Amino acid sequence: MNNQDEINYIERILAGETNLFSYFVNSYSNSIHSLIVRIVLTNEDAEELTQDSFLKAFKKLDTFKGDCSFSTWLFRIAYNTAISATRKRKMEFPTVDEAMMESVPDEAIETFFDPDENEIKLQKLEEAIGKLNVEEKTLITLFYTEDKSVAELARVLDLSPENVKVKLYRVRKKLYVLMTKGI
Amino acid sequence: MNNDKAIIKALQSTEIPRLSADFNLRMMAEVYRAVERKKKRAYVLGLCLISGVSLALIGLAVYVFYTYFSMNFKFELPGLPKIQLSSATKSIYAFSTYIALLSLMLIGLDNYIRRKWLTKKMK
Repeated sequence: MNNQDEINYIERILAGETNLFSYFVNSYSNSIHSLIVRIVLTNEDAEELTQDSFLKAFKKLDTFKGDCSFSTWLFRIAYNTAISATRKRKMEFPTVDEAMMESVPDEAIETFFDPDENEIKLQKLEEAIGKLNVEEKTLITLFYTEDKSVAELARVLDLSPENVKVKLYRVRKKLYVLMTKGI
Repeated sequence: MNNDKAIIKALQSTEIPRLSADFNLRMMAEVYRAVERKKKRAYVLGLCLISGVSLALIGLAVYVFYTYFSMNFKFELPGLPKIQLSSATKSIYAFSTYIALLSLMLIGLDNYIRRKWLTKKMK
């Protein structure tokens, strides 16, 4: 279903065909849940926050302008909902020294994440991803698993596209440091 | 950056707990509940608005009656008051009755046209 079809669905939902909202729930519940569970870490909370995100989206459906895809709009709501939950819990993430990150040569990053055969490396990478902060996790989850463009990521995270590009680049450097220096 | 196969694989291989099987059903039940709540809220709000406006109109009518209308009550038979109106009050009564009938007619016309338009839209 393309963006225009989704807009038509939204118009019909707003006109009273509430049951059509199930299409959005069926299509996006797993993606939203997998993003939230990476942020809040517990499944019970993630499920509750997924439900909250969909309810917020439903209640604010009339504010959806159609200038981005519905999924981008929904991811933005889910991200903000999850962020609010993490703020209440004051989660802590390891910080990486700036100088350490600056010292990483660009060429090393370009080739480091390319080969995918090494199981130990993959395990280390999974651990390193777990140590990223909320914004960084959201960035890589949406960029690599949901195939969101830089422009869409900018909308979800309320950043400029240039800022998203820089942050994506820095996340890769941070992952490299976390994996090689064993932080 | 799209060639970062290792990152993609690591993200995909991370075990993500699944949503409970009945999540979508529960979600839609919540949505229907939200719709019901919204309808109820709108109904109560409408009721409060109508009550408020009605009370205000009654208050205004009482105020206008006491301020601008003078009436003499003559009791000829016990329990049956006979109202005597002065000539100035009579003209105000006539004008008020004319305005009230005109308003009723316009409201009726509005209701009739609105219903017709809705029926046409439904078809």
